[in-house]
Amino acid sequence: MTEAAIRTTTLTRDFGAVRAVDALTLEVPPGIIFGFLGANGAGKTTTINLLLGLLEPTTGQAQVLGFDTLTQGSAIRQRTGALLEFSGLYERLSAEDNLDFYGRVWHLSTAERQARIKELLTHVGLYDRRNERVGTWSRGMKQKLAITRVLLHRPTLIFLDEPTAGLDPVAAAALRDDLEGLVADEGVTVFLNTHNLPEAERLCQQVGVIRSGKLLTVGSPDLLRRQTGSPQAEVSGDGFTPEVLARLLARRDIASARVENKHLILELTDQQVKMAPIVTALVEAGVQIEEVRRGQASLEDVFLTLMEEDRAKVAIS
Amino acid sequence: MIADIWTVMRKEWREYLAGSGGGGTGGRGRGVIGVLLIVGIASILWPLQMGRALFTSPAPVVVDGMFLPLMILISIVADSFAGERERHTLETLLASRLSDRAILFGKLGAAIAYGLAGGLIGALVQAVVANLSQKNASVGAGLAFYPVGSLVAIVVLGLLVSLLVSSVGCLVSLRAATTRQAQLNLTFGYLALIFAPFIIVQLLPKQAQAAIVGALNAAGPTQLFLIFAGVLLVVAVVLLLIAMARFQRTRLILS
Repeated sequence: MTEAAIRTTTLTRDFGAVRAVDALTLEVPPGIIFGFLGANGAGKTTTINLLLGLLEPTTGQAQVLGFDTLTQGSAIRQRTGALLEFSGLYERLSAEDNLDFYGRVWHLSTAERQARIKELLTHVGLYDRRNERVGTWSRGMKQKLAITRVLLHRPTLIFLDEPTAGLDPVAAAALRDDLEGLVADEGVTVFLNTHNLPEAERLCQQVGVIRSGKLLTVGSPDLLRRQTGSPQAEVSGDGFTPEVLARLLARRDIASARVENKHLILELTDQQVKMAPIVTALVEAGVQIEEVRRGQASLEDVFLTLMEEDRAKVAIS
Repeated sequence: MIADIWTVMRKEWREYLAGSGGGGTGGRGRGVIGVLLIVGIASILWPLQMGRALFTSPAPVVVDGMFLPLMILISIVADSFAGERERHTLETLLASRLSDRAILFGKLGAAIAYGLAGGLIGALVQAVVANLSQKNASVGAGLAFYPVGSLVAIVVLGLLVSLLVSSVGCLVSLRAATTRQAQLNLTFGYLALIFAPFIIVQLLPKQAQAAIVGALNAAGPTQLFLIFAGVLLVVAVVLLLIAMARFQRTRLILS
């Protein structure tokens, strides 16, 4: 059995009266991109700090790459790269000086350091600007440089906290391709903190959803969609009157119906529900149908459902 | 470990030299200009007035061994830890493979070397200016320099004061959220260090006070220097040990 890249057991961290991470039990297999999803303040960043051994857990324990975070933090940091909440760049220094410093930190030889800096900066299109002070750069450029710094020493596990924040769409897409390449070609494990759900849906083989420090669920995006999200159908056309919606809602196979931008969005009660009787009912009600599409709930729908369910549970208790 | 300390020291010096110019393009060199201003003011006016009499005066020992390192380091050490936290670079540094000791000693080493270098550069500038002064007309031609004893005193005091200031700076800025807060804490820290000996002596019985004053009056300049350097060394080492005990990365992330 392959050892998990990350394993936590009832990992808990309090800051005074606030419980930032609450009994987190999680296992991340090696060689995948794991998306850790949650709203701001959910406990994602604290979790990364705990996994890197930068914070001590209040209770519980965690192993990263087989090393205990409490007693072997140094061994973990030796083998990992981290882009934390902030880029962490020295803005008074040039891009090259920033990378040179961290290259020395990771004991890369002079030749290796120079070659790697050139390779990475060229890849992100910043090599010609390597002598400029980082403080004069745009946020997106800084973010690219910070990601370059994370990859400099070829870590086996990478922690990324909102890596595409501040990147333009082209740069964000390029980063996503790079991450997929790293995982496929070099077997790197990526722990990705994000609230960019489409990004997580596209990139991650597994995701965990955290709210108020508690892990609500974990699994592949497909599994979560099946478990949590309802099957949907989208009907394009004209004539979606309130009477039509009322007739649809009276049916047992439709959980909800709403109109968005002239599109009728139906949430079906079951995967097995057939669309033909519903289409017939719509035509009989006078709706002019142009297109019917079946689909699954997006990861965003799953996420919002989980948040809502947990909020309701908390309210009841 | 030594290589890691050296890596941190190099980074610190590069940051000092780049100055605190924020995001502007003209910031590089502001740090050097600030130091040069301090050294210039302390090293040009009064050597011009004293001429070669400077070399027989105890003033350079006080100015170059104590005043210049203190003035140069007072802002740098506060910025060293609290500034990294304020600019959000501390977490990334702590997430690297560097050990706590390598980060601490690298930062302290860079500050100590900077303070000592400032004092020595000041002494050299003063020596040049004193030799060029008009006041030397009555003394005759020829070049003069500090006696060996004064040079040793400048180096030893510069080293100890830099170590002391850096240790205090490290201690007070470890938990400070901003450089401004660290500088404020640092000012109180230095005031406490300066006034503590006088307050302690005042609290002693009259006989003990008289004995101390008598012993100091009886001591020669060399003995006085050794006593002073010994006290500085003890205080600096104690503060350094406290800083080492407190500098643990799991306590440095403020949340």
